[in-house]
Amino acid sequence: MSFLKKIPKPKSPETIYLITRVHGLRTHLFKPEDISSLSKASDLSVMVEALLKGDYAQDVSAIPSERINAVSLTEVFYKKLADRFYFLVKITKGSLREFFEAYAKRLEVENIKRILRAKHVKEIITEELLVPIPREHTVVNFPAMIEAKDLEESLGILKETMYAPLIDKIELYKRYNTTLIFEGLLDKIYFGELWKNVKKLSENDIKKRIGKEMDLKNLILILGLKAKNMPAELIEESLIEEYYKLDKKLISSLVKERPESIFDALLRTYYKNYFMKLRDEIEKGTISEIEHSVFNSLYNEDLKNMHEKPFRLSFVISYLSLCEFEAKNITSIATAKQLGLSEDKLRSILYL
Amino acid sequence: MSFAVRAAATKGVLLRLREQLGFIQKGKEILKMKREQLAGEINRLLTEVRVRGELEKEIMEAYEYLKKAHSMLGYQNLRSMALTVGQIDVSGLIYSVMGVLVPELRIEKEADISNVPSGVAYEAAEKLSPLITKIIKLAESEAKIERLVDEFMSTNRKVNALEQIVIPSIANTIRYIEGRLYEEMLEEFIRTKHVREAIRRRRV
Repeated sequence: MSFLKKIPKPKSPETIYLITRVHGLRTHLFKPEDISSLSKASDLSVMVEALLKGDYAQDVSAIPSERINAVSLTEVFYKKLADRFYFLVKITKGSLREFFEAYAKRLEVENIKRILRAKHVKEIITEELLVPIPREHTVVNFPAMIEAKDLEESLGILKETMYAPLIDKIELYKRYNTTLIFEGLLDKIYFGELWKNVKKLSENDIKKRIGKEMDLKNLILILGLKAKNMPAELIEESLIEEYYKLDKKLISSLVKERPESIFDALLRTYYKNYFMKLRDEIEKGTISEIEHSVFNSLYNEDLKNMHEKPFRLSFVISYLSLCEFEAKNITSIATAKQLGLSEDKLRSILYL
Repeated sequence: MSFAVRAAATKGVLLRLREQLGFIQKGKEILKMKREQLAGEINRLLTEVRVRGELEKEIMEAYEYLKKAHSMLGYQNLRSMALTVGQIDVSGLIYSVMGVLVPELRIEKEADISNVPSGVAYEAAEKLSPLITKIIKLAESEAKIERLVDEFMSTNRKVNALEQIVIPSIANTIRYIEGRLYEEMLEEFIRTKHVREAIRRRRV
């Protein structure tokens, strides 16, 4: 019974309620072994059969059989992800609610990015290509952004939202003709807002989890943009400005680092363990493998955290993160089954 | 040989046919030269088209990257990422090779993939983007070959028709008329002799 001594004093009945609910919700998630067995499904129909027994049953069974494909399933998976995120918003209040609201805004940010990319090339975009976010949980008028005649008009719709600083970047966007400017700023705004809310919670575990994600995103972004030979100004412009274990000076030195010495520079950071085995990938600039490896480590840390800290708020963050990984994993499986990707290749892209 | 039979056996026709034969033979030589030029051009283009097998392999490899990106990101996300690829600009020109109009495609602007935000989508774009240029060049060569081969076949048929039918037929007609004229000349000669003999006998 020694583990009982480790149980921290709960801060409030709301927190206890939240953690208890998340313990229940967690059982609805696919375990790594479930993902593994889904990946072995002979085709999409076998996967759909398996999905009809779980949390996705209602939405999957609502799809007409002739419309069942990876695209319609992905829509369902991300709808469920949004429902899971906003369920926590619904059952909490005060600073916790604000934190979950800020956390869930990553879906909103993803939608804005998709609309801006389409507007950049004057391509028509429909709501089916967006993550379905319940109207009551977003202040962004996505239908109006979609209807806008061009990118500037689309950005104008964000004027009264927290994404208003995007409007000031139109000149920079025109100079470089890239939406990376907006995408970088959106991440900056998102993590800035989230970080503010994390600080309000005064829970070190949450700070650590979100801080790590933020720093690692920055490091991967630096590696990615350097591999594309982007100018240093543009790289710095695209980075998240909040840091956990990194600082502005270190980030600037990494941005200016020569490609052949960036691996050694990464080994001098707090995050050396994430990059230690990735020398070849970093030297070759295969960002997809670096990204997958780093986020797979985060996935495993989340799983570990759920076992080790079942009574902390970080348990809830790990749950949210695992929801996102689950959506990515089952999207990958459904798409791979439809495209006939081999099982080995599929397993190499899953978070396991 | 109906042509030969129908022709009037006169000196005028013979002269016209000889002129025609000379003209047709010159035409045949020009067509032969054109055929050789076309064959040379087709051979040159065939070496360009030989990369097709290799290109197909490269495309299959690139599709594996695309499949990976598609599976990792899902359709909606990948489609959105694909929109960040700058459009490729291609202009088309038409020029003439031995009178055959063939297309030429010029890539004015390569696809700019530097804005693709995701690593896996970028890698797929990096593999596919140079292949688009190669595919365009291959399509251009294939279209040229198609048109040149059509013209080559038609020229070949013309040369064969001239060599096998038209020229022998005219030559036969010429021979026939020459024969007829020679016979007429002999007849005339003998008739003249007979007339002269009859006149001589009457005088005696």
